[in-house]
Amino acid sequence: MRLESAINLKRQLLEDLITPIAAAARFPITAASARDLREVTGGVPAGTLFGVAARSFQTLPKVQRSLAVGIARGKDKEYRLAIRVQRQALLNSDMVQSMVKKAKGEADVRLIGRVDKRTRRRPPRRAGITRAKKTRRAPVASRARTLAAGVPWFELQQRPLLIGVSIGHVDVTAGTLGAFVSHDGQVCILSNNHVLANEDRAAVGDAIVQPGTLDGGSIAADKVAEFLTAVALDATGANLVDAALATLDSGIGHDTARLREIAASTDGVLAGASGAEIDEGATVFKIGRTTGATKGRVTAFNLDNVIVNYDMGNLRFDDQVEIEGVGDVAFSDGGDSGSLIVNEEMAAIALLFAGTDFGGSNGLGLTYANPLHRVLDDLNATLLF
Amino acid sequence: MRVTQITLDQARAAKRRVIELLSGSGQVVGIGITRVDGTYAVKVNLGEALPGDVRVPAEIDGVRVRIEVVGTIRRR
Repeated sequence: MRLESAINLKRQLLEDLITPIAAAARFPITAASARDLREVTGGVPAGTLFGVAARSFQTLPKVQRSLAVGIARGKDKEYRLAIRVQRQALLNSDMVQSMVKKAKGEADVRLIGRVDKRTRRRPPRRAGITRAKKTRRAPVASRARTLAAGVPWFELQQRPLLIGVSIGHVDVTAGTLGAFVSHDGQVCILSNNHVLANEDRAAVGDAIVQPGTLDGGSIAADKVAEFLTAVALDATGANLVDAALATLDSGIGHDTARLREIAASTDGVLAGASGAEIDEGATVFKIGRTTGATKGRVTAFNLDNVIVNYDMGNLRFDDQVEIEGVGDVAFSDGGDSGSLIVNEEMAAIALLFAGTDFGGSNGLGLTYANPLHRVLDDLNATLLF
Repeated sequence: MRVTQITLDQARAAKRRVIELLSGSGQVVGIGITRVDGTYAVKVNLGEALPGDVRVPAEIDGVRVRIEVVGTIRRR
């Protein structure tokens, strides 16, 4: 296309699509704004679109990654629309496809992922907890398509509580409910420290909500548990786990064994904790708040010196498990932290806590997890199933 | 064609050597055990490519060393 056409198309797409998304993506996302977002994006679930890590609202960026549009050179003296996709979930989305269609195929689409500033990070601040301010929701584009796409079950309130659903400390965006355990004769919820304890910032008794706050959870309507204990994160030495427990409130129904739609959209039944050593090549499954049920393959184990970026800085983890997604999907994304990872026999092997945007044989990123036996030992807990 | 089978203990010993070799390299974000061509090997994960003057041997004591640039690891 001619340069003028490319510039006009770019301007039109910015006005119609990109700006409404950026405006609607201001946090906290409510159930209503998630539905609005879905209309703007052409059905990409907000949970997938905004696979933000389970983290404190206080440190959450106000602007989320989506798309960048520009002009690229085409063949000869022609120009093309340049679409730079900053989230994996958007790459094959209806939205990007409709942009390519508007450009009559004359578009150069590339996944660029996260763009970091190339300067040193400021030292992290350790401030007291303050609640994220409510921001006004922006109007949705008038030409947005209306879609019937529903919010996935794992982002909604689920009673009885199920493994794999959205959950979190009330000051945390949202993570995943890993499993139910017994600790000192009480039934507790198992997840990560950064999901239930807000990276060591929680006080015993703090409210845990299901769904997590990012998915519209509130203390009034969705409190299911209270923070109990966590394995403290060590900013200087080697960590082995990112794990915490919350005591289940009385009267909250829970299903300790159901693994809803975990493999081939069929339910599984948790078969307890695996006693076998984790090995490379093993097929694994998980259900998480952002990517739902996914299948993966163990790519490495006994990983030491795994450096992971947290609010409190870079932390080191030893003896970790590495997993890649099988097929054309990532095994996890932000918000899947705390997911229980099971083997083909549905026996639990690990607790998901971190990941990368790139790497692995499909290029869609690697996931990191703590061996479950270590998690249970360190929390003095027994897996219920 | 490689025929030697590496035991897990051999791979772990080689892993310790690689950790010593790369200690102080700010680019390393994980060193663990994997398989290459069906036998145990050492995997080195990097946040970014190593500087030109840092070389990692392709094998240590007969154990293959596989290097992958995985980028920044973030809590999810």
